[in-house]
Amino acid sequence: MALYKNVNGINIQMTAEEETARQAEEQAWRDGAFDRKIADLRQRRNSLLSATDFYALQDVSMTQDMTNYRQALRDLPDGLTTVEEVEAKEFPTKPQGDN
Amino acid sequence: MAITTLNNRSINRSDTASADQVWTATSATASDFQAAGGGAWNLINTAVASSASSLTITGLDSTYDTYAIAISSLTFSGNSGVSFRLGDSGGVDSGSSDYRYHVTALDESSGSYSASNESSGAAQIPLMANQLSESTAGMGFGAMLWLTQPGDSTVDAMVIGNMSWVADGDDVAGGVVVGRRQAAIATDRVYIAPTTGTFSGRMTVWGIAHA
Repeated sequence: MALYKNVNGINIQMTAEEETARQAEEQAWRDGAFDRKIADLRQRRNSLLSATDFYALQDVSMTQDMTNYRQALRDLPDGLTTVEEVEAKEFPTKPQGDN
Repeated sequence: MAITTLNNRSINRSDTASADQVWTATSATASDFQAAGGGAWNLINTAVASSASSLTITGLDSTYDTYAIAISSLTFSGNSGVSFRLGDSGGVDSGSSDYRYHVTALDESSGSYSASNESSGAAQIPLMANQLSESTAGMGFGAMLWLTQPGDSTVDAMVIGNMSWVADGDDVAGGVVVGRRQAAIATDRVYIAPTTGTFSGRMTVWGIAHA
């Protein structure tokens, strides 16, 4: 199927060279899908870990539930190899009563 | 009291008026063609893409050192991101080290944010960090971007702006982007493209006058 670029409102059919370049870009984007997903997961995980970092201070006691929660966050990306696995991964629930 | 109606179509000062001037009051009892007021937004172009692989607007130059770019009602053939690029008279720039950027994604499903950045070089500026806009009915992407000194040979062109979209899982999401073209080119065009497939929607560019 022919590809079209729109320049100032006018549809122009891409040249064969432009189509090849466009298809290569799309393939590169698809190839990076897992890396983007896992990066997104890790960034959200890191943010949640940071929000509970103060429990690790020496003058603050950490409950076992909080210890387990933080370990589950650290383990979250382990073993994930596909986009579908990343999308299906559930974040652990923060223990009630811990702010 | 009788009401007198003035037919403005009869006003014609073509001997003294210049393009882009406006008819305005010059005193309590007089009017004439004058330069438009300061800070006016001047339409460069607007275009609507329909099932296209990219959308480009040309006509930017050094007349203005700030341009506003509105992207609205973008819909996609499949879940997709959006890439942003600049170009000059030689075409759209897509070299592997043409751009640097930092883009964030704020998603309703999380209190934290996701980000994507490139500090050495990239072939485009992505407008959705590690996320995609949904392609189902009623969902899509919009943005308001600001492009500074695009035609300046001293300072590299930079873009900053805000985006909103409906992400995977039907979540409303948004973000902030900052990007830089790593060379002081004579920018005359802006380009957007879906990262996969085709898209439909509008892009409009205005040049903003200082005075």
